[in-house]
Amino acid sequence: MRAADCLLAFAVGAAGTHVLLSMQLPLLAALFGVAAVLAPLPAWLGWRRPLAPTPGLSFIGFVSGGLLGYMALADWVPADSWAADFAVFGGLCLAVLVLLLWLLATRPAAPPGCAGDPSGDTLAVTALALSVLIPRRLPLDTFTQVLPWLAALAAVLAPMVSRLGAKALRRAAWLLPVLALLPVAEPALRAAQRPLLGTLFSIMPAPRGDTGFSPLAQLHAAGLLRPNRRPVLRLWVTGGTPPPYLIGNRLLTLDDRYQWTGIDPVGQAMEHEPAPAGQRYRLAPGKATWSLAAHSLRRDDLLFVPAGTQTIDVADARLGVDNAGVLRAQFAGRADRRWQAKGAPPAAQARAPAEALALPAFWGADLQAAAAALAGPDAAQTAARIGAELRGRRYSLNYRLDRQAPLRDFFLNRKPAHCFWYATAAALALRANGVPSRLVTGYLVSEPLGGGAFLVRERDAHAWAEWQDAAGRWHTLDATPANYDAVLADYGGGAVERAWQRLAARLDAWWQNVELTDAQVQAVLLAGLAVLVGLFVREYRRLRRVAPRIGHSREWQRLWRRFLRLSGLPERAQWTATDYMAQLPEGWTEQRRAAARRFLEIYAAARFSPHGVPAEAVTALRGCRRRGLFG
Amino acid sequence: MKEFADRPVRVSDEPLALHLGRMAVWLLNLRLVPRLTERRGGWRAPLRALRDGLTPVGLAVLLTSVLLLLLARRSNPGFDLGLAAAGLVLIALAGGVGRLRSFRVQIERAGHAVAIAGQPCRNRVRLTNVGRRAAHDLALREWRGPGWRLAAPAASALVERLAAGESRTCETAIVPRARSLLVLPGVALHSAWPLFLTRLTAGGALPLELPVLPPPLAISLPPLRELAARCLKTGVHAARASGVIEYTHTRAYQMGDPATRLDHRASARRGELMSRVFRGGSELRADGIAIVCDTAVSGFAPWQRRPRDPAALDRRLALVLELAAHARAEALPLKLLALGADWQPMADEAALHRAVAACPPARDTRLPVSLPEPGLLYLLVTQDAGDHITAQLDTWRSAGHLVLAFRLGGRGGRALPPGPGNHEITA
Repeated sequence: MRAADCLLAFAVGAAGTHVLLSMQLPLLAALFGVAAVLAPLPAWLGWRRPLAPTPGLSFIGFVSGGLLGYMALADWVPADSWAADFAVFGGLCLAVLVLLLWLLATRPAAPPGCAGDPSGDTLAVTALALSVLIPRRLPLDTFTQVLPWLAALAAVLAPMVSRLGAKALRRAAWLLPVLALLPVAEPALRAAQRPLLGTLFSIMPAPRGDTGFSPLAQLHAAGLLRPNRRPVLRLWVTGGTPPPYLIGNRLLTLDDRYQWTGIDPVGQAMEHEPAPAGQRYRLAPGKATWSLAAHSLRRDDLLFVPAGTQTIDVADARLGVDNAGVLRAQFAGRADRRWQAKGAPPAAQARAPAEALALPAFWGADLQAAAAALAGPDAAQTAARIGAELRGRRYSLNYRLDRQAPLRDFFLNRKPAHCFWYATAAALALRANGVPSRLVTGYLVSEPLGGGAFLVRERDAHAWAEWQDAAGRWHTLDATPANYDAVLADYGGGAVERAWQRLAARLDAWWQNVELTDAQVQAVLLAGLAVLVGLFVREYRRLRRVAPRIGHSREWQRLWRRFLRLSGLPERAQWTATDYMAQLPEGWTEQRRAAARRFLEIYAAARFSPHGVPAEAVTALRGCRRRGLFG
Repeated sequence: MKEFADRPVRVSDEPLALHLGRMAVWLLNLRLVPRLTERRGGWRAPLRALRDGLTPVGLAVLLTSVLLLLLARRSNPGFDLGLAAAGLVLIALAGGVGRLRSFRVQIERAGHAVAIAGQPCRNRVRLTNVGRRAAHDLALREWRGPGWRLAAPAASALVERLAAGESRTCETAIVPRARSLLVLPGVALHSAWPLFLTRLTAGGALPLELPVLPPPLAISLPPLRELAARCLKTGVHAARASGVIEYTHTRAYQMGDPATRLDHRASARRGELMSRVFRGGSELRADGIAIVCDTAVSGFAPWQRRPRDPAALDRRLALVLELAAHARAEALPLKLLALGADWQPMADEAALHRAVAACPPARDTRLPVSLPEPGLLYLLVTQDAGDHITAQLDTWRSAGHLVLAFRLGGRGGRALPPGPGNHEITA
């Protein structure tokens, strides 16, 4: 066995062990390490080897690995392993390990003195990437710390040893300065890492903006925000006309640090009962006049429903209200986050709590005077006047307010700002006039996709106020200026993106109508796997059939090159064997000419036959050499 | 239809809509990724510097180290920043040391042969170290270009050490894609010293015109002299031939000479086979051959810039080369060649290779109107023996010329009428 092969086997073994240990599969890691070290043994013993992996076979292997990972890896690995969360990626990693082992066992030995060793380079590069870029198992111990280093070292040394053989040992001394510089280099990199990342993030164009729903948001005196285009919800109106405001939570108290707290929950105790689609949670009594279906594309489990929602249907998920006052469903791992809401215009409720009339400490006399100037004869008139006053101002995501008293600056000096400021000002102005109010955050639905479908993006995150009339009914007051729509319209995505979203909504709706049980899904996945295995076997068998023919051709080419080298005849690509026979050098002895003719006749007769290299040709060439006729 | 060169030609007497339709199809099929070339400068220079400056393993070390540098934050202890530091120091050290030991090597081409489409072609290059220090770990390759691909790197040898003043001949290997007259622009020389992670690359613009010939046909041809003799015994030639056969001289045996003409006495005297040469009767008296090849490709429409299957003509041209080689072996050198309607004199084999490699496909069959020299054996190669070809053959033969016609069968086309000078070849 060559030293380069041993090094590559070690690199692959160490990298594979590292990956499997990081997945918390210690037994499999030990087995892989042993298998990798033993993989080159059959080639060394001269046993018949299977075919080497081709790009096509490798691709089928990758896809199968990803599919297997999706189907089963989450169940195999421990729950706290990263592979449980990234099952497809884990499956791909396992497929890479199997392919590495296969390549290691079947790679043709590169003759020494060649400029390249493609299969060796592939092994070294893959082992290096796996050992460096897959995170180590935590908590760290000496073995898991050292393993990636050993794998990387073997992968770096292998190409040099493959080309230079034993001379590579002397060259490896160049690695010593690296070890000497390491105590300096690592802290230097650590020091440079933070500014480097900062610079990188600042020069890279931000693909996503920084707006979005935030349960407990704080008002900032200045801001430069970019709307985020990321889709978060798909909605389908299935009956009536639901209000366009989707509520995240309702907040009651604004503290001195301009932080809204004091949650007003939607419902403390939600009754639930079985429904055809799973569980039905009842938030309020009454007969529904509208209904809508929602599919959340967010990564969390938050639910958003319009005001007046009476029931929410979710499939096998427990619904509750989280600490921030937002509805949250405990969906199973990869389950679709879907729900259906039904409701009617909000009914009268009990009198609002005292917090709904409380004003913050910074609410001074000048603010009170300005708010009082907007008072009307009743609560509805007051709300209308406040709304009209604020909506006549200017909306902006790029604003700068007085740091000491930002609300005063905003309200009295009519400074532009975003919706959160307008909603806050409206809520406080209402309270200043004795109208109970609260701040509501959520989304404003504004992008229709056709066919009753709507798309909600992060740019649609919105804040507005609600006020309660004398009858106890809550009303929505959106005081955000009219140029709000114009500002956000520029962030709706391009025509292609919008077309894609329309198509995705249709496909989504169609997929909802396809009802598959878990067993059917498993059956489809298994069928896909069976197709992949079938393709793999078919391609492998085809290659096995073709390989001997290619082998014969290569054998003939080798024999021909050997003949030219021994005889000293020129290499003329266009000459046939007959040409060579006719143009044998005049100075040759008759014996030598006869020997060359003999080989050329055999070559001309059998070169294109479907069988292998005939023994006569090899014997003729060997005879020529033995008798010293050539060379 | 995938290349820019395939854009449809506007044919004036066709409707514009048809042309626009073809343009649309061509646009849909157009290959948008440019073919890899090794032009100097331009926006690709940094990418090429990265590719030339690092071996595959070196590139992997650099990229993984940079990624690790971004991932290995204090809050993420699963990633080891020490590995990133080691990788970056290793690359910096290897690159710096390699650059300090830069080399000066003179590169010149040491001759070449022809190439066969789809088969590896080796070109010899002479390296001379003109620097004061030895150069280490040298690997040679052709510059990348559109008409060929580099052979596997394992096919080229590594020069471990080239001492100062030393000269050595190495080989580069490429695989041409199709028959053409390639121009290889230059040669790149890499030195992977010291750790086979970084490379120092020197380039030399050494243009080389390389005729790429079609792949040879696996056929067995009978001797041309025998075919010609058979033809001379029949038809118009038989009527012209006199019945007298005269001995003229004895010469060395050549492939295709009948065994009955062996001069045993002369052979015994000289120690090699000798043949007696007779003149008259059915004996071929030509002192060379001329080949006419029909270059028409079926389905090559006027709106196409090149046929859909560029290799359609290759089999015929391969047969032309086989015939020329056979004739040469029978002491019948190729004097004239007509790839289309015009005759070209063939001074040597290189001219034949150049003509074959550069032969463009034609839409219609065009043959020379007349055969210029009466003393030559004429060979016609075709794939579709249509009326035009058979009529032309009859004209030439009735004018007294000895013409052997060869048709390549197996890929469609009409057969030649049966006759002594007409031959069907199946490859």
